[in-house]
Amino acid sequence: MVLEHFYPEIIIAFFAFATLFIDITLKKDHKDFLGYFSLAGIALALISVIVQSISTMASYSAGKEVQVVFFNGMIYNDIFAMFFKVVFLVVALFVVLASVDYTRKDNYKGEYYSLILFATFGMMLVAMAGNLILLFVSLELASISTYALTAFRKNKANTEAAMKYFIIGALSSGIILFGMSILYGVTGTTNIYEIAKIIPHVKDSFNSALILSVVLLIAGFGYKIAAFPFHMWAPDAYQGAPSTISAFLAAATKKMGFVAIIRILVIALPLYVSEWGVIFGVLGVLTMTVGNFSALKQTNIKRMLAYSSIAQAGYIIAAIAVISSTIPNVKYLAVAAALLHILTHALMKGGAFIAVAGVSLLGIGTEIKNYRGLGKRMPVTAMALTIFLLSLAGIPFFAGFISKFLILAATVEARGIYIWLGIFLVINSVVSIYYYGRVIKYMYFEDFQGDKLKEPKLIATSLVVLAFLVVLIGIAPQKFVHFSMYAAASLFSHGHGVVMLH
Amino acid sequence: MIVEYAWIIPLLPAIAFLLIVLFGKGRKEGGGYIAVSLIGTSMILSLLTIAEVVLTGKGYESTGINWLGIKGFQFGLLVDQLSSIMLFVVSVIGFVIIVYSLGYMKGDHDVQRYYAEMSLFIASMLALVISSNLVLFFIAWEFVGLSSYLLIGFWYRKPSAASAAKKAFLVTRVGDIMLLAGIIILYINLGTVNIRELFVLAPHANVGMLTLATLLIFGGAVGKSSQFPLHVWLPDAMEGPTTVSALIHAATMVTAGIFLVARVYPLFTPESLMVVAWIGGITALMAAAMAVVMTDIKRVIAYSTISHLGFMTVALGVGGYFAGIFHLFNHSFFKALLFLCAGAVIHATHTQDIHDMGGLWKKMPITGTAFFIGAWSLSGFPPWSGFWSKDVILDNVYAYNHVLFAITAGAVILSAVYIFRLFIIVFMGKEGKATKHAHEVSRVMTTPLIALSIGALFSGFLVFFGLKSFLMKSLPGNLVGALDKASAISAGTHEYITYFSISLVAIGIITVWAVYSLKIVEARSIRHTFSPIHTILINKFYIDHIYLFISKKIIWNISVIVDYIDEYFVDGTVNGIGKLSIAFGRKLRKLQTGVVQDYAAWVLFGTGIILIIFKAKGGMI
Repeated sequence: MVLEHFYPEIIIAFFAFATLFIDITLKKDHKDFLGYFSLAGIALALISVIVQSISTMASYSAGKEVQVVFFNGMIYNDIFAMFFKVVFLVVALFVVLASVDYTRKDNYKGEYYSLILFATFGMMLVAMAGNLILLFVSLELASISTYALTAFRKNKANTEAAMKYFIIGALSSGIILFGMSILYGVTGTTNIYEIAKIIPHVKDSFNSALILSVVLLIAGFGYKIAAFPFHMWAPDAYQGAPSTISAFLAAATKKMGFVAIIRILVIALPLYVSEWGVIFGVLGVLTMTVGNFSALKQTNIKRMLAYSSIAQAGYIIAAIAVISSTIPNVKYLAVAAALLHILTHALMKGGAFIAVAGVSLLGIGTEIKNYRGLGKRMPVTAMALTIFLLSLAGIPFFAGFISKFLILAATVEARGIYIWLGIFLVINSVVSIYYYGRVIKYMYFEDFQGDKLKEPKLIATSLVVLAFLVVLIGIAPQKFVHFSMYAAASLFSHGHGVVMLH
Repeated sequence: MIVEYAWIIPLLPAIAFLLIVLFGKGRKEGGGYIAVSLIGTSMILSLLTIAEVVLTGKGYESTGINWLGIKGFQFGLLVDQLSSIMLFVVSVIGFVIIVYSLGYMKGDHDVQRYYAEMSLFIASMLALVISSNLVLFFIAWEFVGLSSYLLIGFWYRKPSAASAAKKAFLVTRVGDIMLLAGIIILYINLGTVNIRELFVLAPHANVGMLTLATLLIFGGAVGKSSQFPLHVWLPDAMEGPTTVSALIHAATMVTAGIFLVARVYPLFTPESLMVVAWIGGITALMAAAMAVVMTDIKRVIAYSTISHLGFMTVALGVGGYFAGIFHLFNHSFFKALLFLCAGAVIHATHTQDIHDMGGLWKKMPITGTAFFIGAWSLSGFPPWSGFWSKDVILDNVYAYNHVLFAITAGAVILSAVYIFRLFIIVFMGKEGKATKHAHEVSRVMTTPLIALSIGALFSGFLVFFGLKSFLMKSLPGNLVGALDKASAISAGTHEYITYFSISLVAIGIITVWAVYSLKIVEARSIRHTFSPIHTILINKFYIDHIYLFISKKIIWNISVIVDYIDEYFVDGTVNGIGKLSIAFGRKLRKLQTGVVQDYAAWVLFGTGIILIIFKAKGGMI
């Protein structure tokens, strides 16, 4: 049966609709139930994705063939897709868990949770999409849901952030669509894997059209992944959005851009790898530099985290640039490193924003100077935030170190000019320690007279679990590295049922 | 079976450390019971583990965790015959001393910190003993050094304790750097840090490289095991509580250097072993000579420790693998015993100067007897444990080199001299100033003394129960054959050496008896006759002076120059870069106008720029 391969998606879609319907029947005081309800849905879906990926990896290593292509090439449910689905669902899980505390006094909870579920559903489809049209439609489903979520509280800051996010988003969607339409115009198909087969036989006169399409796709998705110079919306949107939604945007939605751009470029346009390799290299260095240096002087923690996530996206973009290396097997390492960093960044950045949500819930502002003495006032939150920040800075024994190390290893393995990417990565990491460390300094080493506060339970729970995961990956990364290696290998197997792990 | 759970052995004291740090504060005994119970459990587990290694006759190596997938960096455990012996010493003596501490440290206002640091020490020492690769070994080694530093400086308000801690840390650091360099050389050339893999690769490796690497590794042992010329820290380390001296600076940590040499023994080349042998011999003699003139009870025992570590080193150097480890095993019992007796004496008399003591045997019969047993065993007079191992060592040294044998034999006489001098002055004769109000210490302190006495008496008899063949299993087979062949040379002379060594010890004891008890010759007149020698000894061969000269005159001046460069040049550059970065950040911040039209303009501008990059790459547009 085909449907058994899509339990996670079916579960999420069902719970998304069900949340809306149950919302109608609930009294105003009982709306928190919706949070737990969607939490259950996400947990179920997450479990089934994990089961699915474990069993798929097991069949691969046993040499068995696995069905990957569904609906005439509309969907490619490979480990690469599953890896991203795990990332999206994990983020959604913790965001929803924290939201129960965070939105306790808000209205429109039904819409809030169902929009998160719809956005997650859209992102999962993007991860699997083997067809440009499905990809675009799911991208829009996810995007539009998050526009609405950004404006959720309807105050001035929310609305302005959502407006900016939406306008640049619409512009970029147009650019993406333009790029896709050129691709379709030249090849006559919207299937990514078919395009790959046709492009080598296309006449030379279409060459410039294809290059234009590559550029437009990079520019369009560059907005999603907040690459320089398409990143400007991100700090405004992350700062203005409710903090849990900032977590969702930075940790999950941004990663959707990566899955789409990696699949399209690697699968459909490998012929232009040297061209897009250069662009990614340049963009990666610019993005990480601009992100880190802009973060240095930020006074608002959400804005600082936004720039930090631009910088981290720069590291991932640099890893993608390494795919263009001609040394055998380096591209596997590059994709695996990018994927692992996507996972670890989702955990630590999601965690950091959730910590900010917890702090602002207790009436402490989002200015960094308000975090004075937080180590005494909110010990659990402060400790978890410290772990996330250290991990973001790439300190050993935390997850961020492992994935950054893999990216560095990939650039070194690729040799030649790629080593410069590694050098920039290291320099940028050094710069970043300053602004991450500053927050820690405020929390622990600045005097402050204030009462100990009661930390919101669910937020604290999600922080503890996330911090545990960050430390776990930092200490015992084998399983996770293995997963990302498999995901990378399955991407390059071009939809074949058998994967060779290098 | 049980051996697979060996990783729990160091984990339990580590948990004790955490628990005491977190919850020890409110308790009156400062978490002492937590330490006793967890370290006791860990001891039981190690005894079971050792029993399994003994019964199955096989070592165990875990597959290990491959951190970050770097080749050769498996962090795993190796429990073989050698580590079993060391495991036994560390866990049993560690437990006995923690129990003794319950009495000894009672009433100290900072006792929580004491138990936390002791637990940390035991945890890292146990991890060191059973690690299967040199990197994990080095990490544990550094933790051991750290906890030793913390414990020497336990009474950090005393300036002498604080500076002794610093001295120990700095001096052993010289050795640590060499050890790390040795490990790096091995890794670069052989591609692994796993001890057993190194054994397999070593016979095919470049001999010059191996000599260099093993000499550097031995440098680490010289620092940690307080060998000449890095022995200067150990006598000062006596500033810590006496229990710390007994555990760390007599029985376990200082023997870690010996253990290290034994651990990587198959890597050593004849050239590097020669250095090991001579350094050991010189240390044994020098330290024994200094021990004769010291007047501080703990310092006498400290120099004695250095001397006996020298015996172990010389044994390993001359190919006496078993002799060295056997002496390590015996020494740890009688030396821990002597230290704990010294602790009891200090506890009772509140002084460390031996001339203030005297006639203590009557007041403290259990302590006195225990000290006598320890002294007898240490002097190497039959039949107790020290005799057996010293005998094998002399045997092996004689087969190796006669000059070295003379040096070692000299150290043996002096051993008997200083330890019985100490015993006679402290426990016999007239009552001293500080003896009046002294009385026997409490049960919780005497019980460990009795337990260690049993060890000091009988541990040597293990040689009759196949200890040698057991230990030799931890070496590769071909090496065992070579070692046996070398020691077979001395087979004919064996008996004579034994008689010779017994008579040496007897001469030493009789001399001391004549001088200090019967007073046939006044000690003062001997001192007067040999006053130049006495001055040299009391000034510890001026080695401390030389180090002080080097550090104050030469290194200080270099430091001043380096500091100047650092302050004005390096710091200037670093701060300049920092300021520049922040200024750059401030400029970048201005790009962000907050106007959405500008953002859109940037998007289009960026798209255009990418197209231009393409053009520059030679794309056709």
